[in-house]
Amino acid sequence: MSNRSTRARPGRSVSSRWPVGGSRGSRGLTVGAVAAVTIALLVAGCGGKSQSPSASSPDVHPPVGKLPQATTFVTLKDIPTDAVAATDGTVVHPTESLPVSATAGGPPVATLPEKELGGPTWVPVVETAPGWQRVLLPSRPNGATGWIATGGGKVQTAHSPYAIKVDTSARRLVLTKAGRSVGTWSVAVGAPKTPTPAGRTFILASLAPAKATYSPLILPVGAHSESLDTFGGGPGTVAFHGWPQKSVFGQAVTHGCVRVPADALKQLSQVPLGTPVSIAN
Amino acid sequence: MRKHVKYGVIAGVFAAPLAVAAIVVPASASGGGDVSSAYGIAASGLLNIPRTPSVTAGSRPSTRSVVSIPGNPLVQLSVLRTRAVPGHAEASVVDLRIAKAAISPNAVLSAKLITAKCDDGVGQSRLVDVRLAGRAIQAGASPNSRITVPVEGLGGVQVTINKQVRNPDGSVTVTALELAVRALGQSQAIAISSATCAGGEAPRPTPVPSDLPVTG
Repeated sequence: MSNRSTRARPGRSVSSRWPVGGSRGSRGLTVGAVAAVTIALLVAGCGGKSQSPSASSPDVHPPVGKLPQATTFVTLKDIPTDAVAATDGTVVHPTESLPVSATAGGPPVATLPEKELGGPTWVPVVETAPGWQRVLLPSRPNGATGWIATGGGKVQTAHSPYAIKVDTSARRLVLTKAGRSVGTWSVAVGAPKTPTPAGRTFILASLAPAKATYSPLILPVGAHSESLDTFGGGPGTVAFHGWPQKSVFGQAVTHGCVRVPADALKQLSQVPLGTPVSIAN
Repeated sequence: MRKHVKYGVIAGVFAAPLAVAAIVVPASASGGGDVSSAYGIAASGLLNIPRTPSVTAGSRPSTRSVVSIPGNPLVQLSVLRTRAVPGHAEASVVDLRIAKAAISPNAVLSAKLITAKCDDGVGQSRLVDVRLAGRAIQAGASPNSRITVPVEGLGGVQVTINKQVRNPDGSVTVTALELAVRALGQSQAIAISSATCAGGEAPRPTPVPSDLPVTG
């Protein structure tokens, strides 16, 4: 199994661990602002405090007989990827760790834990079969899905009326509730070499860092950068979050995250975990 | 004479082999907790009992109990109780006896207590001292357990324990006990203690005091 964090990718820098705030995405920022932002990034960890290439590799080599957990830190193999059908807003929460299969009724290939990043796991349902539901998983590769058995009394179900759409070419975010627009905002998306990955994902967690530097709230999604295997010591998870400089909104300058204005962040903070997010060019 | 004919027909209900009888799944309204519903007992086939008692989340009152099933001497019970409110439904039956024929002293199915409970889309069943033709039926660890119980004069009766079904609208229906048998070219099914509910609106997240290095 190859070591993902050092695998060379054509045309893309592997040294993603460097904070490059100064060399990339500095259009429209003054030198002073760039320096300040770079320092903030270093301190916050959303900009690469990790110096070592593979120490934080998200690859998992499970002990014999143990299945990998479907978390943001893991790459799953042999699982179906999303076929981009419409969801009906059903989100589910496992009340205990559940086996995840690649096919409905097939043998388990992973487990879905009860918690993700310290909060309850909620994932959206994208397909159903008698006795089974296919859900989006927060692991690599992007679009990872798996089947969980329903009817075991272990799956709590709920409905999210929200949907989040990000248009990366227009650099706009639209939040809808029951199909009606709640707000649209100009946002910052991934730079050309570190794009925000297109596809469907979901709100994975809501994090309030103790020392908030660039944003009081971070909303990781189930997707990862496809150009950066690791970032800042983490597995390259993409997130919605705020940003101190309003000048970034409308620009393609990030390492994959979608930076949103404060008002948008406030609205997004109300959105249930598991709510689907569509990212399109 | 009419009475005897009726018994004869009903007794003939429990005849020979197989079954896959369909108890109508409750038609669910769309949307959140409004789909909660419950019923104590239902039977379709030659023995026909509508869902009794039956409640839905909008019912007034939200709890219904009955102490007998009129016109059905084969089904005896102490009480059937059902309740349905948004996000929660339950059904229970106490001291149930279903006889093969009015004449037979040996109940085909007897139960001290059979309950089904549904909370936010999670269903569970409970069986206490349930016997079919003298054989103990127990709620196992996993739902949708199926066994076939041979009953003298009836053949094999299909028993489904803790049946859990995910409905198209996302709600869950848990039925504590279902019996099915095929007789005189007809399917006969009996469902005992069934509850349906769905999760409501997904909750607003509570931020976790934590951090994750994300891609900026």
